[in-house]
Amino acid sequence: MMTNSGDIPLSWFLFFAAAAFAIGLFGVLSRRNAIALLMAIEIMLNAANINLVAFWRFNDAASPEGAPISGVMLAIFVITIAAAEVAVGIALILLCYRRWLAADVDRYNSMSG
Amino acid sequence: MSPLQLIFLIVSTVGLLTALGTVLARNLVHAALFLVAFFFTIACQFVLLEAEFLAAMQVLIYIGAVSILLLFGIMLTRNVQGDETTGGHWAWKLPAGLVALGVLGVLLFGINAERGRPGQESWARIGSRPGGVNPRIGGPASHALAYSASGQFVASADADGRVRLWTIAGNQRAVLHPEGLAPSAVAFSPDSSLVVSADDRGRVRAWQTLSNRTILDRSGGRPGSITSVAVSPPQFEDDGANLLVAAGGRDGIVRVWVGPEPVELDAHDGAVLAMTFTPEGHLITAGADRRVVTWNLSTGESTSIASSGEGQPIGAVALSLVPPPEPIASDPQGPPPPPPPPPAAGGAVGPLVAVASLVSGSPGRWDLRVLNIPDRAEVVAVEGLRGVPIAVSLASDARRVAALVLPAPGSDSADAEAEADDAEIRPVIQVWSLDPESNGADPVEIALTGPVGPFAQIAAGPQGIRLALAPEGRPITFYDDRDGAWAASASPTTTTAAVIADMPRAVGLELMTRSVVPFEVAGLMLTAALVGAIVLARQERRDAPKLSEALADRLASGRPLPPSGLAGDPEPAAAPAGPPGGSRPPARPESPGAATRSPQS
Repeated sequence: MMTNSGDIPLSWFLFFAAAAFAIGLFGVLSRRNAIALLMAIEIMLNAANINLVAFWRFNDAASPEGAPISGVMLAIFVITIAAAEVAVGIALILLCYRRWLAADVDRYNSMSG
Repeated sequence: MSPLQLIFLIVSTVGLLTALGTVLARNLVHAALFLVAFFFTIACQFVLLEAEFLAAMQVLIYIGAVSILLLFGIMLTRNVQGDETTGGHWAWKLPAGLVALGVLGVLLFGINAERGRPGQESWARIGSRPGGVNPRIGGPASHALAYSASGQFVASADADGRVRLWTIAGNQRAVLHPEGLAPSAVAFSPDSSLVVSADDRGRVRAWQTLSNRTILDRSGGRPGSITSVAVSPPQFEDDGANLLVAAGGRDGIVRVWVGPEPVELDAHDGAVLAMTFTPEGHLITAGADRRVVTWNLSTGESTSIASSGEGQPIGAVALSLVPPPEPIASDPQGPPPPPPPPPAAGGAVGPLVAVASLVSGSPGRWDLRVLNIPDRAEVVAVEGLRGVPIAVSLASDARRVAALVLPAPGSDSADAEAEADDAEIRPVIQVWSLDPESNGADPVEIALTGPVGPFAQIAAGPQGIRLALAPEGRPITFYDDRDGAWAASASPTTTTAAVIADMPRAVGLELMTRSVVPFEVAGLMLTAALVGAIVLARQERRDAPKLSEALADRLASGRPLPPSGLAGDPEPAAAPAGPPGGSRPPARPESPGAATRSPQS
């Protein structure tokens, strides 16, 4: 894995992103507070962003003139949508909190049979 | 392990720990603060991936907006501090952990087992990103190239706004930041001790070649498309005040900075294509109006000679001082300077100018002339060459002249077939020796493999040293006469010069100039401060006897709790009591589990 160039290998970023994604997944599965769920989802989105940018950066076509900054653009989309998702999510959670007086997703079970 | 890798490992470790803290912390506020720290480490990763804009976005959006939103959500959905309802039950955590570990295992296995498509490198094996440690090494197009007279360095003004110094082995030696507009011309002083750059807003900068220190930064020149720049050798050590800097533009005006304010010389009727200072302090300019002018700046006098005949538009022009001035004291870190060349070039005694002029009326033909400026004697005159010269360079020892030539389309009937199936015009570099004994010999032709673009630059070093080529939009490449090979810049080589040049490249300048280290340090310090604050807060709470008792109480009561599934709500949904008199909602959620346990804490 060690290279002569002293550069960071692509796989290191991928490993980091995989680990962060797994941690976020664990958070989504184990947490019950809705806001904690949102936080865990943010971790997963950030891990995905790392992958996007890493693949963009390590792609041969990513010469400054040759290719657009597609990876960065994708990541910016992800960031934007994540921010919107958090805003909507928080609003929903607040509404649910007023309705059920709990932020616990297990309590939001009015649709269960 | 390189510093970059070390930084990555530190950042990654902190990042994963803070992510774990986010999903494991029972206190939601702590979890949110851990999440902020995690966002910081992600921003650090973006910087390591050279997506600085994204790092700024990360800080602004995630840390600035999202985490604040989350904190508001936390505050609005719980009524007391120390909400302990966030953690799941172990019956939940165990399968969740197993699933996460399984996904992690699949991902890691997939990353490791990737083999790549046939004929393609597996991306899991990519050890370094394109462009080496720094992607922008020679990556952007270079506007200008200059070879130092000592033959030790090549300077390039790159499209990303940096000026780079290269060793002749093709290794980057330094990155200089002119700040502001990308410089469009770069040059060495005659004694190689200074590098100077000029941009189109009329700003010039000069650095010391050995220390990379800025010694001069002047602005106020007339804006315009700058085509050439020159700097005089320093008269006194470390003092930029008496430096002469000149920049010439497409407008034919030469801006000369004697003091802080520039004076303007209306030098040429066309673009100023090349200029250099002589050791005596005279300025020689060569313009597109087929004139070469020597300016005595102290008296204001000028003498002009014609560089090409009537009706012969200039294709490219280069200037060189003969005899070459004494190079500066040898660079302790650089390669040894080449031995002083023997007297050269047909007994020429003054500065030389090499002119590639197009033959009017016969497209695809050009003449090459090398003139001794003081006595206007022709050192070399070759006529009727084929192609279109787009750049010409005189070696600093005035022993050879190189021209970058694009073959004119359809100019050669013998090539007609080749052109039919290969429409791409292959450029070629032709090198003539100026030694008297080889005068009139055919040039050495160096075929280029790829397109270079009409604004490519070349710089020829002294005999036996390299040619540097800056094709448009591609990294600088260096050609070695001795083995006839092209080497991309920043490629690892085995010369001693490369080893020495590796250190500043990988460690110091590279990181410092790209502000990776300040950013990472700031990010890690902020992260550490956050984590430290969380730990301290926990410590204080643990010290409170009532809380620790409550904790023990809860642990004791929680241990025998059966994994009754989610429907039964195994955890108290309502938080333990907060500060009395706090803004508690009138109707507190009552969970069936909470009633069986003591909510008091």
